[in-house]
Amino acid sequence: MTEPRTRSGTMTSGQIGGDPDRRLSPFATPFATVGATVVAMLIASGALVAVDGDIPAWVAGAGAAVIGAIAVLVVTGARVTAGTGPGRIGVPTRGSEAHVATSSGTVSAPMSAPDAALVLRTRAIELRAEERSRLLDALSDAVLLVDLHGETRFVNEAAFTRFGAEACVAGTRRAFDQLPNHVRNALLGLAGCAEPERRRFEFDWAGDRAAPVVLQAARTGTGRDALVAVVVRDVRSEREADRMKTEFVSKASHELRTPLSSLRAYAEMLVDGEYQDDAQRDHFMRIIVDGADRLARLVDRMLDISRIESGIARAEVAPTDLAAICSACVDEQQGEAMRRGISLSLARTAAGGTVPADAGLLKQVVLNLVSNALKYTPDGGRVEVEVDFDALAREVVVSVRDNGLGIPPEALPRLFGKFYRVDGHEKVAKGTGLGLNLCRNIVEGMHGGKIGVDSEVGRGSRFWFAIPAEPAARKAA
Amino acid sequence: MHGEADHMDRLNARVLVVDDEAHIVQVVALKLRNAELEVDTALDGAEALQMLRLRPYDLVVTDLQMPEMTGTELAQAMSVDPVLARIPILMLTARGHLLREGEAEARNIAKVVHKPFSPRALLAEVMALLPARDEAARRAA
Repeated sequence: MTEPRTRSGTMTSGQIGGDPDRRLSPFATPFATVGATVVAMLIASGALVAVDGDIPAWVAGAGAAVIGAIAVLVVTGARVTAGTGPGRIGVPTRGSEAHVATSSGTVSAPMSAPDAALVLRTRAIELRAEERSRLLDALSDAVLLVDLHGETRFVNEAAFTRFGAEACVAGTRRAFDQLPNHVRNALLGLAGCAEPERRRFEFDWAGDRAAPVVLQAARTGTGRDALVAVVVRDVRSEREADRMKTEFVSKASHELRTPLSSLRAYAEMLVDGEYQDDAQRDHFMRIIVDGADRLARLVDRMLDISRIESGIARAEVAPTDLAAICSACVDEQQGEAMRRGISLSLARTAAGGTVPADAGLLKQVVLNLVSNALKYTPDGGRVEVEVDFDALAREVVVSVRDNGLGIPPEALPRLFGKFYRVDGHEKVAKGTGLGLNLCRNIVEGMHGGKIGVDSEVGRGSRFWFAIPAEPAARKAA
Repeated sequence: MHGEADHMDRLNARVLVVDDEAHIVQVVALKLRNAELEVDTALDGAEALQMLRLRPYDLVVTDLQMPEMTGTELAQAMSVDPVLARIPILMLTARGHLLREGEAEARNIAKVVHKPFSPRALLAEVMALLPARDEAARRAA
């Protein structure tokens, strides 16, 4: 024999009331009050508007309306069910609800007037119940309702995932017993009315569904009718975001302090007159100016990235000839390449290299990739830029290939992150550690493209990015 | 004056300055040399460790975050070497917060100075850490 599950939506009224012969409205039981409290608590705790965007804001508003409706129905529900014998209520089909709502005259003729009113009221109650179930099931947080012994009275869909379907059995402590000892004790204390009505816990969920979680609980009702509503939220992604934010601030502050240290130290040497001659004094001043420029570049990059990530920066999209951009970048960097004896060339440009894009931003990407290639290629090396049209993927691919240092495989996944520098590369060339991250933001965040790298230590690297080509844009060219 | 005598005692002390930022190494070395100290420089921990094994030093001023071998790795390597363990270390870093509690003491890091720094204040810290000359002579004997 299978045990009755209390899952919302699948629950029948008979299972709740304990008397399968009576067609009780779910709202004729203490459950109704509690259900309303669960929704109320979720709304109060912000759960409805903060579940990772799963729930649109209007649902929260709807939730408030549902509570209002429930409050009325709880009162009327008891009266409705009191005079109802088994099988006496004919439940209208879903399609009839519009008639029911506007005119009681549409209910079938053989029913007496009180019966018809009862049908309408019961149907309205069931609709509300269904709406409330759907609302709770739409939450990504697990909702569990237990009585003062810790026995399950209700779970939502997400609780199935959190506690496991086998544990979500009405009238057992299987779900409750999965909570840590200190939480269980506190919740039983809540039910006993001795403690404050709301509690919040943070702990690591153990077992198969291991994750950091926040558990919020609220008591509803008092004495023997007391129930405890429990909401469990997986906060792994929030924690990860926090960790990344902290790491970013730490790295950013280090990157800012380094040029600032030069500024501070050399300025003081000038103030103290600690230089041997005019040449050394001028050298110190140049270091200060360079340090200030480096700081400015760093701050500019950080702001650019932040503007893209927060969606403030907008691409000014127009038909853009990537081959022309690459050619201009090669020309601009030719001086540096010649100084270093590096052969820099535009190796190939395929036809159809025009894409709808922001020319200024894509030029920034190409310049960044070319200047990186020059930085990490030894004097006398080779850097080639290519523009290809991938007809199958319908995108234009720009590659910058060098025969420089190459990048170790373990560094590749982090290469486009913020402030990441390949071990030992700091010695070869200075950089903000943000250039490739900005490139990724421009290509992927602003143009819906892709950026990547293939590399082999000692043989060189090929950085590439692909921008989708729209037929309209190609025609326009 | 007592302070003056102390300073005279510390003259000719030899300091090793380690930082991967060439500008920082230059300015620290210049400040210390202007104060009549003898200064050698290294650009990472591994290079510093080699130099420490070739010549005796009275103090090491090192950055924390460096390629090849970090400042804490250098301090660790020094702390397990019976000769180098006696040399006090001054850590000059933008990432002092990365040092765990107790780590500085455990690795003979006598002082942490945070970047951005004042060369003047750094020199004062260096002077305070240098052993007086008679003590240095006793150790050498």
